[in-house]
Amino acid sequence: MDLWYGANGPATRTARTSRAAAAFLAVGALLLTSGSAALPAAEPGESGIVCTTSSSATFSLTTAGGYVGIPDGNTVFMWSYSLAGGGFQLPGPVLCVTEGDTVTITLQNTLPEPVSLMLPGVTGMTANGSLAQPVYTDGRLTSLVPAAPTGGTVTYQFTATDPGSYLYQSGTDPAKQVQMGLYGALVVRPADHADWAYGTEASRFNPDAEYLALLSEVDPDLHAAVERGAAYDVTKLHPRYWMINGRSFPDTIAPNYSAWLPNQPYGSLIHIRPKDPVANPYPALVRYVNVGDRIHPFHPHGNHGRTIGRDAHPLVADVDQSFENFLADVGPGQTWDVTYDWTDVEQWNPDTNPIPVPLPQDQNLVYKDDATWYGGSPYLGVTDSLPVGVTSYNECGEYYQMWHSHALNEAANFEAGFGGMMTLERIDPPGGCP
Amino acid sequence: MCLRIRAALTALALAVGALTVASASAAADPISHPTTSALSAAAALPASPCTLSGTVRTCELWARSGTLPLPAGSTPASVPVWGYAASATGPAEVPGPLLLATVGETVRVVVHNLLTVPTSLLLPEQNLPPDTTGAAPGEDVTYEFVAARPGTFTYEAGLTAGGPRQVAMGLAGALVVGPATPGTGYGTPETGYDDEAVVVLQGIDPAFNAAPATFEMSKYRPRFWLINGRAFPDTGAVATGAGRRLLLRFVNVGLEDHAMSLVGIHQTVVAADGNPLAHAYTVLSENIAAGSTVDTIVAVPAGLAPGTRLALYDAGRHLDNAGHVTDGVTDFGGMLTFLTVGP
Repeated sequence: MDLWYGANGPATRTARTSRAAAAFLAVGALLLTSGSAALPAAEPGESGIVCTTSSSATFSLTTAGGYVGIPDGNTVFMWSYSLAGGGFQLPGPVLCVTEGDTVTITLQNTLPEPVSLMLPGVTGMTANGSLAQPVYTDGRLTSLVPAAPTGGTVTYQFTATDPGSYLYQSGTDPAKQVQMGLYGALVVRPADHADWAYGTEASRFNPDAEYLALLSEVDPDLHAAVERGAAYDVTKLHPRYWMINGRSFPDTIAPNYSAWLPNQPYGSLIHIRPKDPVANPYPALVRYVNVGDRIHPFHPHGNHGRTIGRDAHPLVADVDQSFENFLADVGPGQTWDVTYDWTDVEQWNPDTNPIPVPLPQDQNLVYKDDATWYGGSPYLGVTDSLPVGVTSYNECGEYYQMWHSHALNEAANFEAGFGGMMTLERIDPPGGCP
Repeated sequence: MCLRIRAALTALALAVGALTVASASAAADPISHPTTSALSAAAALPASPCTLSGTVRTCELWARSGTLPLPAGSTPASVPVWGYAASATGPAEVPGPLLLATVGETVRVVVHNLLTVPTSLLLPEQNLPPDTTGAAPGEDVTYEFVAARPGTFTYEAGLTAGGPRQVAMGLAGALVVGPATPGTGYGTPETGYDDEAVVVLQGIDPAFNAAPATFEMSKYRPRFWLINGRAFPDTGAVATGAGRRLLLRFVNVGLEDHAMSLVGIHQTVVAADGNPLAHAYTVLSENIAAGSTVDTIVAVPAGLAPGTRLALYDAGRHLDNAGHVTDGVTDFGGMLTFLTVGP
């Protein structure tokens, strides 16, 4: 069984904890690899972006094949970038660096064909010391940037000049290799403000509520062809599975590093508290990254978001071009940085400010598969009884909103809903859950 | 150790533009008609058949059938198309010839119908009522409008009963209206440029093109993806230079959206559907919706070495020619080209 994180060499992994109270995971042991392995600096939180950092901004990646699980019981063979010495993971590690860093990524390729690592949003990237340029073999284009042959290595390097969110992916046979899973995200933080998205205070966010939502599609038939060494016809692409951070709903809301998802370390549960000018003044930040081949119209149902930047360019610099809406229309190859607040406008309270209309009766509510995240009461922070036989995952009367691709065929696992490119926003009462 | 063989390609001194579609010659260069004398290697608009007399700009188009060559090794090697020719005896061009005018001119477009079905013309961004009748086979129809604003626009077969199928067969192209003073897209410093290129996006479904009248359109699925009528490796490079500003006029007359991205350089969106933005924004990848135009400015850094190539491609990965494979690897094809940094 593939295991996760022996952090190796200069790379360590730190995570943004979403809530101090829920920081610890009851999950498996950390493996120490041979040599000078370093333990991660902090336990990853249940939710929130999981950063892989390095004091020298140096990362060693290796390609690997492995299996991911889908909630319908299927497993799919995939390729991905993993940390050298670590186990297979999908997507590749989230590389987090600081503005001004000279970033070095060494890619070792163990797959049976050449693989490269391309960062389209980065300028001036070199490969083995020379500007990364398209590669021609016998007069034919074979890679958009230099690739590592089977068993070989390429070292990529660049200066992280612009804060923001970036994607990385293979530039070799991309229609196949990116579909197979060779993708990941890079985050560049501003030099002096780790809790700003860009170099302006208008991009400040709550560092305990920072999330990655990396969007992708999976065609299991094409992956099976690769698994069996059969021919791969890109024109037959027909995705059936849809993912956020390499998982399909409801695995998307499982904790980071869940034991039953050993090859899919990153969840995408958005876990916040109501906005408060004193206790919780800054918004959550979601970094959408689309490594897929089509627009994913991502809908944060019940909570509009403010787009503050795209492709590592702020929309909140000299002129405020940010905009609020209910949909992030994230296209292929794009990254969108979107902030979210949830404000308790009505302040409903069963004693002091009750909801002034009759509440729906239990028999008029529907519980899919006799399970729910509803706590039995529409009041934030209050739980109440539920029909006999209904299982509730609600803890203390928190709210849940379904966030999902509004191309609803993508909110399914092989056409069976709910599933796919879907997650939850969880809004705790102001004091959090005990 | 990764082998790198640099292809001995000379930077093509061409304006990315309309093609002369010859039924025989698959290796014909895309037309190069640079309009700037200072840097003949720089990308510029292709030639336009429109002529000016006084304040009237007359453009004549002949809607006719023709053949579009596909990259060497493709199956089929070419497809039947319908395209607009720039002269009575010229071949069908896909996309159609560039219609080029200056703001304020009265533009008169005459469509000569050499097809066997009625055809009309649609200029969606101009102030014209839609024409659902058009010209009968062998007849002409004339459209006249004032080019009221500068910008990048579309023209395509209009809304006769067969109109949508005619567009899918190749009857579409770009209309560019320049501002009074050349050198900007919209008369503003933000839209100033040194080099410019029209980038027309289309798809071709050979099965449809073989039987356009009867094909079941719900099964329409392009297998070839074109930039200015060519699929990679036959796409024309976009020549620019270090320290120069390049205006890319994206024109999507296909039936699908295309997110156009660059590698290693970003683009500033300055206009959409010929409407200049009050505040431009910069991105790497921008969606060009079917039927729409987007203008972006690429500011090429001063320090880039001559010969540097920067990919411009469909981020949705329409990067193949009907899935053609060599030695088990899908060949690069489709909607891909390169910005080339000249000397």
